[in-house]
Amino acid sequence: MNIKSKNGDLEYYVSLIFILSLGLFFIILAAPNKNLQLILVLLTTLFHILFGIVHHLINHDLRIRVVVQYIVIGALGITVIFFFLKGGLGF
Amino acid sequence: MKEFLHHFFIPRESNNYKAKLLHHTTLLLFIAFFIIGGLLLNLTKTKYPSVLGISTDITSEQLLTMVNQKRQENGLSLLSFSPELAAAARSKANDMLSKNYWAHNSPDGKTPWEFFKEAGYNYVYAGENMARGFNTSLDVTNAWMASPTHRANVLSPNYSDVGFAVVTGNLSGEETVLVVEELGNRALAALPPQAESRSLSTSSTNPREITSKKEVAVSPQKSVQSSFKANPPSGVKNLPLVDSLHLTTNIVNFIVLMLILALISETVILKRRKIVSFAEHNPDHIFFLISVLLMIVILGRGVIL
Repeated sequence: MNIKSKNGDLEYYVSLIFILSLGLFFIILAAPNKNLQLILVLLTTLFHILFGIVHHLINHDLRIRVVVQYIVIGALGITVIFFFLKGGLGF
Repeated sequence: MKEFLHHFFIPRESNNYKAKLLHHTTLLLFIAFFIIGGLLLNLTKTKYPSVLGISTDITSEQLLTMVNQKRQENGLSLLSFSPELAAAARSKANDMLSKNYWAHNSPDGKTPWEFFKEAGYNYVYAGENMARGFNTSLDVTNAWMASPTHRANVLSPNYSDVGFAVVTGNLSGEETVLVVEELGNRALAALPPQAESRSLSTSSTNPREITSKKEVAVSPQKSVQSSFKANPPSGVKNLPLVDSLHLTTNIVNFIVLMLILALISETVILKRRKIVSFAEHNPDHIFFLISVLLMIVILGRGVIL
């Protein structure tokens, strides 16, 4: 049971890293179109949140606190990008 | 102080076994800080550009020196500054800004070579390198040298003249510095105009040869030996008191790395103490925050074409 769970987690983390890497890859490809890059940042974050929630749903350990945690950290990531683009690059 | 730091970074009874830094209220404060901070910095940049802005120091004189240095290191002849090519580069840069595009060919199909001809440069060989979003001449030169196609243009023995344009403007809603480098070898007046070879630098593996009808078996002659004295070099030199790019990058790196460290310490400590919590899913957030830092690197770097 424990081994199965660990394998499941491994698959989950590999998939998550794949999704994030794919997002980064497309952000590189979209350069220098900042508007498109921003959309891709939002999509990558959204996928990250949804993927995490679905994973917990499948594992039957989805709680409101977990959902809030994903949303708050996702929102933090987006505002970090906003801060850099607006304050740093002046976009 | 030690107690305060422990409360902030280490999960324990006083913070309900979750580092205070990772509490939702703290994270919401960070979100508010980034939104308000971003807007305030942007406002300061607009109102007081001499205080806060992006440090930029790119001049055509520096670019010429650096490009020639690279050619010298590779045993090639030095390029001469051509006022016609500099005019062609300027026209190209202004055309991109006025028509809002970032490409070798304009949306209405105008090629770089038409700018050469308009500037009165009758070429045998012609090439174009471009860059945007860089802050120093060294960064631009290094980026060109790191790309095989741009490097091939910089180190081509076919060219004898070069002209640069460094202009600032708004491209697709972004205030940016555009650098255009036009390279060429002047055709002698007696030579037929059809003997032309051009190369664009693109991000593909090989330079794109548009036309290569016939190579001219004559040594290139430099009919123009103009210097920067007669034609003042173009350049952008903006050195505000505070570099907004460095400031925002440092703040972001500091806060995000602090959060990553708190997430790692929470994961390790709770696992060691065998405390059941939501922390076992912290790697999700760690991977996400690392990808956010990588996004910042990608968004902040210049682009060459």
